[in-house]
Formats: sequence, structure tokens, C-alpha cells
Amino acid sequence: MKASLLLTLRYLSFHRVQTSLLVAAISVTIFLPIAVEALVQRYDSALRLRARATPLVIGAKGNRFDVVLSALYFRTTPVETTTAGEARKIRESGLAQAIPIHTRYTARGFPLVGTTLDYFDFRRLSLRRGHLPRILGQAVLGAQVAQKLNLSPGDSLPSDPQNLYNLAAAYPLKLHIVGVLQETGSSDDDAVFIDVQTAWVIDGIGHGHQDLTANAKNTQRVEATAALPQYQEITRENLASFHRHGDPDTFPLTAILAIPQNTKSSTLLKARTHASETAQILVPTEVIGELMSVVLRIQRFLNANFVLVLFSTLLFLTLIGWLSQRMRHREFETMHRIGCHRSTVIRLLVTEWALIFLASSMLAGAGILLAVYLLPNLILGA
Amino acid sequence: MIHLQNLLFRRTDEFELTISDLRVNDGERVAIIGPSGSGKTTLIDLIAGILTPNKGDIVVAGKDLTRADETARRRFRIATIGLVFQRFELMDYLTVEENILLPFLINPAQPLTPEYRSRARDLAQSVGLGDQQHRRPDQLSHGERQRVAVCRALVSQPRLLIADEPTGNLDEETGRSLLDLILAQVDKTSATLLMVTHDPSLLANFDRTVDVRDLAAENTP
Repeated sequence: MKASLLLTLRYLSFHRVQTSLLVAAISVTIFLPIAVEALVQRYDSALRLRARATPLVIGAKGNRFDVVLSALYFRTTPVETTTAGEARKIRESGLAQAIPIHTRYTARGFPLVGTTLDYFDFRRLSLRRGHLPRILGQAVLGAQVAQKLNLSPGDSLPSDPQNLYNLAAAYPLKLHIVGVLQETGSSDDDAVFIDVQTAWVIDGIGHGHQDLTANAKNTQRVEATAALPQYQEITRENLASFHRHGDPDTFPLTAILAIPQNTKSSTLLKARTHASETAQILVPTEVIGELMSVVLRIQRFLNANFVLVLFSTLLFLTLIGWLSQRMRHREFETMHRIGCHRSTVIRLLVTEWALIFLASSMLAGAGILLAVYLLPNLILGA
Repeated sequence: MIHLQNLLFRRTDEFELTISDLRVNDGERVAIIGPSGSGKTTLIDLIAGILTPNKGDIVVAGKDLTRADETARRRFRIATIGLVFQRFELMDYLTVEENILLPFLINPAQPLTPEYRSRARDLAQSVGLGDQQHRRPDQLSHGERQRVAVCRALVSQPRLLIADEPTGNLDEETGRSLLDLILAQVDKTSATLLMVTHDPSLLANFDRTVDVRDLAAENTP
């Protein structure tokens, strides 16, 4: 066995380019179906876990998947917004606790989540450092955001500009980081939490008045040059000047997390919201279940595809094996003439293919682990 | 050493080799000649136990090959016979040392031992390949590859060395040096030599010449 292994290893390493190509081709054939299955399973369990922890989501009428994914995973793709008035009505009905979620903006690519302190209690989020936002302009970072951006309480983080070419649009808001959350392994780790009022400031609904003459030589005449700050900042000095215009009931929210008191409250809330012309009430487990049924249908199609790929790969491997044996006919004949039993030649070939499949499986396994570790974040963060 | 008697080997309707009686003594050097297709390679394959005759007897070194099964003939071949091929047939993915040790690497019944390794190194040293043992055939000159092939045939210290036209693809000078190498090694071990050749200039180095075409008649020294 040792001698067979030596001969096999020598042969494979001598033909390392051909061996590598073969290993790569087999690895991909193994990797694809298993990685897709593992990812779908992981995606499914991650989505359902968070969905089960969220009783009801209320959002504007429109794409229910977008509303639920935005409310649960803070997707910042534009969705029809509901209003703060809806949240007020739910609170006043006494049927459920209403937690606003406003996720239209990002800060250095991470979603900015405007909410209230109730959200942290609801998700049982605890602080690793600092404190929760107390005033406008303060932010708390999810654990991954703090780690990836290397930020901690005391640092600042500007919101990403919305439209570089629209001078009338709201400027980015310089956020003061006051806390970092403990890691939870959920999408909360990849979000920046601010008060919903702060989110409305970024929206341009609320604003303050900054003193542009503070550093000006001539306080009578201020020129709009690059020397002026290109962002808004809420400080203790200008905090009092921040105010909102318009009816608070019309202020936008991406969604509202509703936590009903009991089943009866839930039923009543559903009935009321169903009657609404502008809002829809969604049960996240149902929406995610529906989403996953589409994903699983696609997966079944992919599985059928993988079977065909597997079949054609097997045909190719058979062809390669047959051609290889023909090419090595003289080598095997020499071995036989020297005194090698035919079964030894077969053992050599079996060992070769076993090593190739072992290497392919290991490569595919490493790829699957990498995909399962990396891709869910890419998919859920999209 | 070798005794073939009343032998008939028929491969196809067109090819038939008949040998009434052929004897080769211990330590004898015999050149086998004959035109292409006359059965030279078939003859040495029969003596090596690679082929079996349709009828007749083959006794080599006291072993009746016609009554031995495939496994017994194979084991006998490894233990008793060394083979040198026309194109040397070295494994291009093995080193010089591993090529010399190939008979042991491919035979689980005769596993590689330190003694064989030492013998392979000594053989390589004796033919001037001492510092080339970790190189592969494609890194060697033609002459060096010939020497590796001879060392491989001799590593099991065979009592019979069979060479199938080893000089067939070589120029006269290189063919001569290869024959000298084979004869020197055969002399050292007192082995019997059977060599197929087409080159009449080499025949003087042999004790006897056997023409395959004459084997149907008695051919005994």
C-alpha cells in the first residue's frame, strides 16, 4: 500500500497541472449543490428565527417582502413608507406596542436604523460599552460595525450623502457614537442605531441652524465656499435650535414592529389594519415562509440542473479515465512484463482516483465552509 | 538453465512459433536473431513466463513454467529474470532510484527493504549514476537512461537477464557501450544472458547465436 501510494503521489505530482485541473473540476461539481443546499438551509433558518421573534410588521401597502426584509434586516432599498401616525394609532389603541423602524439611510455603507429605546428592550440588546442614544445626533453601533470601522464611543460617524448634485438636499449628519452593542449574531450587529427623530433630521424633516459665522473673518458677509462645513452636526449648543416642520403624523417610517398584548389584540389589530387603505399588516413568519417557498422552488430547479452537471461530469471523468489508461498502456504493459499483477495496476488507478476525489472533497469542503461563513452576510446584507 | 521442448505457440492463424528443442546453459551468453515478425520477442516472452505456449514444455532455472499459474510465473519472473527493453520504458515520474527499485514497488509480495535500497544505490554507483539518483529520466542523457534500465533489470540479482533489442534504436558506438555495460554486469553476477539483436557486429560478443527461424529444428549446444 505504501509503495502504491508512493507511485500514485509521484505520478500525480509529476502531472500536477492536469491533476489540479481535474481536482478543480470535481471540486466545483461537489461544491455547487452542497453549498447551495447549505446556504439555503442557513438562509432559511436565519430568516425564520428572526421572523419568529417578530410578531407583526406594519408597513405601507406595496411589496410585502421588501417591508418585512427592511424591518427585520434593515435593507436600505427604497420602499413605500408608512407614517408615524400609524404608529401613534397603534399605541393609542392599546392593542400592541409599536416600535418604529426607519432605514432609508446608511453610514459608510452600514444601514442607519432610526428607532426608539423600546427596540433595544424588544430585541434584548445589551451594551458592551457606552450608553444608548439620549439626544438627537447620537448613535449606537452594532458589534460588527464597531469592529469593521474600528469605532468606539467618543468617535463620530457621518451619514452617507444622499445626492451629491442636489444642493437643496439635506446634508449628511455627523453622528456622535455613544455606545457599542454586544454581538448577537443577527442583523443588529451590522446596523447603526439612532433615534427615529435623528433619522428624520437626515430626512430633512427636522433641522437646526448652524452658526456659519463662527469662524468667519467678516461676520456681516458669509460666502458659500468649500470652507463651510459640508455636513450637519447636532451639538449641545445648537440642539435647542433643532425643530421639525409639518404634521408629526405624516413623518415617514419604513415599518412598524407591532408587539400585541395577546392573541385577541393581534386579531383586532390585523382586522383594523386590513381595513386601512394605506397600511398593511404582515406576519413575518408567513412572509418569510412564502419567500422561502420561492427560494426552495428555485433550489429544486437548481438541484435538477446539478444532477445533469453531475452526470455530464461523470461522463467526462469516464472519458478522461479511459483516455488516460490508453495513454499509459505502455507503462502498464512494462509493469506487467516486469512482474506486476494486473490487480496492482488497478489498485494504482483506484488510489489515484481516490486521492483526486479526496483532494477535490477537501477543496470543496473548504469552499463550502467559506461560502457558508461569508455568503449569508452578503445575501442578507444586500 | 533454459529448456524448451516440443513447443508450439500460436497467436493467430498467421503467426505460429514452433521449437523442437532449445537449451541454454547457466552463464551462457546467447544472441537471438531473426527477421522482424519471426518470433524473437515471442520467444523471450515465453521464456520469461509472460506468454504461455499452446503445447510443449518450458523449464527455466528448474521451474516448469508450463505447469505454473500466472501468479507463480509472475513471482518467478521477479525473482529470477531481469528484463531490458528496447526503449528502456522508464517511468518518467519516478526518480532514478525509484525506477531501479520499480520491481519491488509494484510487487506487494516482495516489499521494498533497506537491503534492496542499498543494492540499488550500489548498482547506480557502479554504472556512474551515483550522483543522479534523485533526478528523473527526463533530466538524464540517453546513455544515463540506458544505464538506469540495466540497473532496474539487475536489481533483483536475476539468474537470467533478457534484453529485447536494447541496442535497436542506438547508433553503433552507443549500442556497443550499452552491450559492454550489460556484459560487465552479467559477468559480475554470472547470470545467463539472452539478447535479441539485429546488429551482426555485436554477435562476436556472445557464446552462441540462435536464429529463431532454425528453432523448429533441434538447437542445442
